[in-house]
Amino acid sequence: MNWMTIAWPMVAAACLTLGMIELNIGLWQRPRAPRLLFALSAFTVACVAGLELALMRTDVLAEWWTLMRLLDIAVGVMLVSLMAFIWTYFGNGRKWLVLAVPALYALGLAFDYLPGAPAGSGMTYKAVTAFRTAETFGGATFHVAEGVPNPWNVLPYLAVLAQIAFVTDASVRWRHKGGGWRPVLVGGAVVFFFLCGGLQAALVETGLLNTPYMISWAYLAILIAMSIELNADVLAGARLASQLQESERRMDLASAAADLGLWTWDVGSDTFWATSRARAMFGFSESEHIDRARFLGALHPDDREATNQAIEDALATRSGYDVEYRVPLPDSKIRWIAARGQVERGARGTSTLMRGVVLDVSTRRQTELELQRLHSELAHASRVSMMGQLALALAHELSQPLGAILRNTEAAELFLEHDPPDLDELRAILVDIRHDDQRAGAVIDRLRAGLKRRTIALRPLSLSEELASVAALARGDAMARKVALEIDAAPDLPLVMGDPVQLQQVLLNLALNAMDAVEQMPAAKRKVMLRAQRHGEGEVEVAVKDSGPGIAPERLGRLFEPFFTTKANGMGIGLAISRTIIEAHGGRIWPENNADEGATFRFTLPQAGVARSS
Amino acid sequence: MPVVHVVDDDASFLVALERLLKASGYVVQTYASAADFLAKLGDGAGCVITDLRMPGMDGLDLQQALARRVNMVPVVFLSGAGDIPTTVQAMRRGAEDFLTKDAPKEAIFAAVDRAIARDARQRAENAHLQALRARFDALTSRELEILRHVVAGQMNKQIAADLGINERTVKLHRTAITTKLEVHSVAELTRVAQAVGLLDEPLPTFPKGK
Repeated sequence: MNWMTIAWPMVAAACLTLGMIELNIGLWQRPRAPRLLFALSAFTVACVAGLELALMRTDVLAEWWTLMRLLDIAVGVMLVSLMAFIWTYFGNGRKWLVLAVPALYALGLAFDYLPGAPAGSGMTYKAVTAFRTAETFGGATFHVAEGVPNPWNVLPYLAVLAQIAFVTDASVRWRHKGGGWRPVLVGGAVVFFFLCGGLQAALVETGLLNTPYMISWAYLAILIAMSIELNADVLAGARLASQLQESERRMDLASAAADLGLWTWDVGSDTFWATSRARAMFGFSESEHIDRARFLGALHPDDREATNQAIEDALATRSGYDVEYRVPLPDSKIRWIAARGQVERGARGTSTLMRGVVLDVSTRRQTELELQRLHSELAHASRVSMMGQLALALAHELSQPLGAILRNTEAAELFLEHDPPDLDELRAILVDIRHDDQRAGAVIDRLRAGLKRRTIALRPLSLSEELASVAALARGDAMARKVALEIDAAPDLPLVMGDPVQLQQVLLNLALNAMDAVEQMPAAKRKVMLRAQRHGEGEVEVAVKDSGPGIAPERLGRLFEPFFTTKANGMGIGLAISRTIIEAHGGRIWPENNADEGATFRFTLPQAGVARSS
Repeated sequence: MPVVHVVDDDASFLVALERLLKASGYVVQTYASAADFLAKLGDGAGCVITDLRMPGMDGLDLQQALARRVNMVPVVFLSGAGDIPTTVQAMRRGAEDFLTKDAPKEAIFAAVDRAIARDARQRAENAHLQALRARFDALTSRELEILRHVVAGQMNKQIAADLGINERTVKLHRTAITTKLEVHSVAELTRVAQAVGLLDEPLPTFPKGK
């Protein structure tokens, strides 16, 4: 018992371990060839170690020869498999060098196994002359054979040299292809240990070194170097996996924090995968199988068609999918869900995937609806208050036709008492009465339309007509306040798209504001002008110009803020609502101070029949 | 024949009112604006019915412009909806009536008649005053001086003492005065003197015994 009987089995065990590891990985992970070849090399190195140990233990010549021949085979398999491994792993190298290794080695091996080879001769020795017991470090003893060297024993060494040449060549190529320092380190280590192994064997065989064969040690070192190289990829993969896990965790956290549900739909098999959050939003249980029909069935009936169409569109154009739909809840409430996703072409174009997120937007929707309702109420309130201001003026306007009708009927009664009655005059009276009745009706219609609360309804309309009807509404007020109210509508004015009631509201508001502005001027200088003209391409501009004191520069920017007012009894909502209305029409509204006197409020409206640029 | 002038910017109402008034036997002139009316207004008898709210010169402006004339034409306002301050202002400035446009025709006729009557009365008063003034113009300065003392209530003796003349001379002057002014009593004399505004002037005073 000495350290050698421990060391060599340990080398063999280390090789076996490395081989088993790579075999295990190689069986499960592609590409398989490099790892399986590595495992084969490792197992043969283990065999070599075992044979080396057996050789140093035997003292029977016949047994020694048998072991020696087995060792030669094992080394051959080891060289070739290592060669093949490096070749497949590096992915380049000269093929003739690859072929030269087994060829050269096989030639040498012929001396061991060719029929007719003398019993006492082989690849290494022509004849063995003696066994002797040698002693080496630590007093360990071993058997060593002495004999006549076979000159053909140069062949296996040439095979090793071919291998070294191949590795060097392959490493240089790898480096040139952009491998960095890795090929230099790996190739360098392999070549170094090849040299070590070959040199040690040569020294032992020539009797210059008094040790047993230690080929397996050198090759263990090669295996370790290659194993490190091989598993760098595995380690990188493991790192990647942990990063992936980390990013998955982050994704989970983000989606949980944002209350997002994630889903994937395999179009081919019509199967949805969804996170529990996503399932909960639709009321699906954790294990329930979801397909397209089940998904659509969970939606509000009114939204099914549009959602299905959005899916079809996304699939047809392979573009994004962005919809909002309602999901009725058991307690007869409605959940609003915003869904976004994209189509992904599956591997090899066979199966298409849709992947995306769902978000419960009920709160947002409710807030929006509430805001809309509030805004509508506010607009209504302001309209009512504005109408209140104008009630007097309207009464005046209404009193004209009503008074005329009364006077005409009274006159008609008097005419009827004449003998004969003047029928022509009576006919003229009736025509006038009808005309005045229509006038009165129109005034009432305008008032009613102004008071009714409704949503915006765009239609082509003539701004000159709107200006005239607003001027009619404001005229009474203008007269009472001694304001000269003028209208100037360009004759070639195109129609605009607008809601007549809302536009009248804006115009009235601006006109009344303008009249307020000129109130403090002397009566002769109170002027308000409503003007409409073309503005650039496809727009009409309306300007309400006053001759008042103008707007203080620091107030210009704030005028449209809700509840900002410069009037003692103003609410500060007229302009805010005006802006909302104009922007809903696709126009802009802005104030400016005139060069001479007063201020002008301008707004633009898109011309009817012209495509909106935005 | 007194003329009813109608001023209203609403053509339809103007025509209707014109028809009604004409059918009731009034002579009517219509004007679409106050300025138009003022430009064409002559010196004839009549009254004006005007709308309160009109572009340019409104009803109250028209009333003011008319007030500056010698013969103030009575104004009847016929408004769509008059607010209280405007109505008060109009009435204070002497508007004959303030009616709404839907007032019954009888109310309008009554207002017009009142206005025309007032115009006639004013015209008659003016004519009478004119005649009185002519008679006063015939008095000598001495007679005018004595007249002032008479209407102040002084006896002949006092007047004679104040003016330093004979009491008999005073009597002669008084006879001339009553003859020229065509009055028969001191009371009547006082009334006409008041009508022409003689009583508004202070009695000339002289230091006694000088």
